[in-house]
Amino acid sequence: MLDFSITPPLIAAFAFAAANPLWLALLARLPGLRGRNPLQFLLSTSVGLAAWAAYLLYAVQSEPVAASDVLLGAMAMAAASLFYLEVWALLSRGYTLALLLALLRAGGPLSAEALARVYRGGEGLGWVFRHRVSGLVRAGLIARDNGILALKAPLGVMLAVACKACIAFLGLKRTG
Amino acid sequence: MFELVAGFTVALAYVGSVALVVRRAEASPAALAIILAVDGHLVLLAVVLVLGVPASFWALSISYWFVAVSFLMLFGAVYKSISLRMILNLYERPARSAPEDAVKSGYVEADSFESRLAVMVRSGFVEEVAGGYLLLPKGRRVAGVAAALQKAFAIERSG
Repeated sequence: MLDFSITPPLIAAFAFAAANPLWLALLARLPGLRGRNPLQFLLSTSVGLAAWAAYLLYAVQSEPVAASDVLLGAMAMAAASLFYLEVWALLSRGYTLALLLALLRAGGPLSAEALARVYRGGEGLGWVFRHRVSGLVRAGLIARDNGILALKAPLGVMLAVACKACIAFLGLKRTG
Repeated sequence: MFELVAGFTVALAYVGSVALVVRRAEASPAALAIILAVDGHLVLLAVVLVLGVPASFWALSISYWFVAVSFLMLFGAVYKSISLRMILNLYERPARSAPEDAVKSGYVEADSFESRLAVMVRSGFVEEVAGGYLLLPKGRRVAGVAAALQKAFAIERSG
């Protein structure tokens, strides 16, 4: 027997989670945040969480809020944030999607070479490499020295081992 | 709490089923992972109904989807991340290092690029013609929706 009744803290968690794209669309238009996609996402998620926390603090003054509602609400908000992050990452970093968009903007067929050249508004595929390498260097996962990329221990090596284990567990034949 | 335990247990079974099905099926692993996630939720609700245990739909669903979405996030990263693939390539090389040009031309500009073009053709988004790659109606729809969403969220450039 399924009980479909829902408590106010959970309704609030769903409502604030559903509003995340709205915060995101507004924050993305602030001059200081233009083009800073990861920061925009972090701030929009924080706004939603802060709003829900404020609601809980307000609600607890009139009646007790069950610990299970707090836990489930937090899990609902986290799951929604991960879902949005997946979509957001696809829109702002998706390689295949960016290739489709390049073809759409070209308005006609493009050879593989031309597609590689016009990728990301003319920055070319080299941008993908530069962007990912700089991110990995900043994260302390790889080192870059005199044109050589080297995996750093222990972080980079640990991540590679964990990734290999996941690929083996999932039985993925091809990745990346 | 029964719902939490039931949701987590079925979600873990879902993770196991992805590992089993992806090994055997020829279909896209990403599509399989998503389809199995929805199936897992239906299985969870069906099991609770069959057992006749009183349970909250919302608590069950949140418990299940919290684990399932976390897994899908990890799955997406392992399956498609260029950064993780670069890290793995370095890990598999002698001295765990490689010249930048080799990684750039060998992986990003060749291997990864070609595999994405192949996926786009296989998915019916583009067609290979004499002049190169031509966007098909399905690809045009997907690209159009993506362009509209990028506009809504002020994403100027992607990739």
